[in-house]
Amino acid sequence: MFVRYIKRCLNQAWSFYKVAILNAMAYRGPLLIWSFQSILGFITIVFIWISATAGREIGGYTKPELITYYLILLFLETIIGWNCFWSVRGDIKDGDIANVLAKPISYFWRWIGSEAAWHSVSFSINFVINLALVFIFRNYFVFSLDFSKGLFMIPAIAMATLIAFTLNLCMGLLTFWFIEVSSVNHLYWVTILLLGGQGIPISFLPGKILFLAKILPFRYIYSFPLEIYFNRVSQKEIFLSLGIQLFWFLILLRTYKLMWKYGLRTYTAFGR
Amino acid sequence: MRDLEFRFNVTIWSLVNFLWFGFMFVNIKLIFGQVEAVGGWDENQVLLLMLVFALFQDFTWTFVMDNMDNFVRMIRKGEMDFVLLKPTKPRFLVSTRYFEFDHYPRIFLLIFLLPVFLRNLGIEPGIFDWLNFIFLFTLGIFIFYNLFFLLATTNFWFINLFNLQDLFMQMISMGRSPVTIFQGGLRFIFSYVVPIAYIGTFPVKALLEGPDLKIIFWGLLIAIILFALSQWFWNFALKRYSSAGG
Repeated sequence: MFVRYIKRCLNQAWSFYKVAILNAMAYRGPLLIWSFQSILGFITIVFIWISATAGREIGGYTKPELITYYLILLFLETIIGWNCFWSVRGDIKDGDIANVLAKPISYFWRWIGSEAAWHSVSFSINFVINLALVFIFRNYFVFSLDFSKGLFMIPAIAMATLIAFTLNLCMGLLTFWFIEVSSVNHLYWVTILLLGGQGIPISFLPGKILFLAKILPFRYIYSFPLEIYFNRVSQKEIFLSLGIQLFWFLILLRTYKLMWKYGLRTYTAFGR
Repeated sequence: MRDLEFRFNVTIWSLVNFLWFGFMFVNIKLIFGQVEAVGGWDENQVLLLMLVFALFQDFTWTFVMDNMDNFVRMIRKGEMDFVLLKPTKPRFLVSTRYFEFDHYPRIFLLIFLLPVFLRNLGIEPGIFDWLNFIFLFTLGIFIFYNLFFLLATTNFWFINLFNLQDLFMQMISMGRSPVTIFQGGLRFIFSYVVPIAYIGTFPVKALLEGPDLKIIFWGLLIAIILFALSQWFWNFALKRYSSAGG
């Protein structure tokens, strides 16, 4: 029964994946814009650290390690950053969600398929660009991966992707109640930049805020895989953090289901 | 009226704007907890730069960003016809349709904080320094409006550049850092080609060091070139615009 359910969901996701791949290939402009955008962000942060006057270590990282941090982050952003917030918001706000409700498809798996497609295409484009950046900054690149721990980067990245996806989906579903929720997305970015290691490594944070960062889900999106790369977490901490990732994913999944259930009760479709 | 319709969003936006400012402040404090200077700028100078950048961000969000986003969307949805049929300049219409009101609380706070930050640096700018600052600041907004308008016009060909606003935001965000972090060719590019220096670095320099004729001259030249180029490109694009049926 369960296997058949998963198979049906995966089939749906696969159908949306194929459509979204064609869509992404037809509209390559947005993908190039995102690539260009991340390069500009990367250049700025890297030159901030290169031009910084400091001692040997900055927040526990040497300058080459900091630059490597942002290089690895570039790769992670193209894999993990599943952000369906704007599409979900648009679906509900513009009433397009009525098209989904009239069909026997899962909204969750529809976005899993679509986001996977966009990220497959963007990863293939950005991988080349990011490799070029690694080559340009090769004198700063530090290979810190300990292979015994490095293997854990795979489940950490997979769980981080699921957390980012479900969190964005839940934020988008707020549109059921508030119609215009673009500000919530920016609230998310402020938090992830500060507490999630996307702006600066979380080792820069003072004790109590660092503790808060380790409890909230944001650290488990980008910072945790990076901490594994830089060998900043012990084997025990890795297992604990993977457990926390699973906990947050299940909480967010449950939240999504509740929001979907009660959101649909408040939704009114018209003109379709 | 539009903002009043979505009061939850406007309230959260106002809160988010303060949070962004708080985040930038904390970010700089955390960075300067570890380093002495960035691009030759000390902590107080970078804090002043951050404040001017935030003010720039607020003004562009209030007057420019929403209009550019709407311009891109109108092309995508085939709604440009409604603008072109109206008996007034279409560029004026697409550039002045929306104004965001959730930035006003932060603008007032930043204007209040500006003299406080300057006092921390032990600097009291004269009237001409203030006029020069306001001139360069306004010039920066005009330059970036034209640059964004030029880029948004490319959507007549690309059709689906729905995320251009992300690029615009990124370009403006670069103005948060002193342009001196870059060396050689990159510094020239970010000063005079994609002139992010006019967002924060040059206006702040006007307050810290007084007028620099070279900066004023180049700023004016860049603004005139970008305005002429964006106008020409807009006319060129309109001639090739094929309606999507509205």
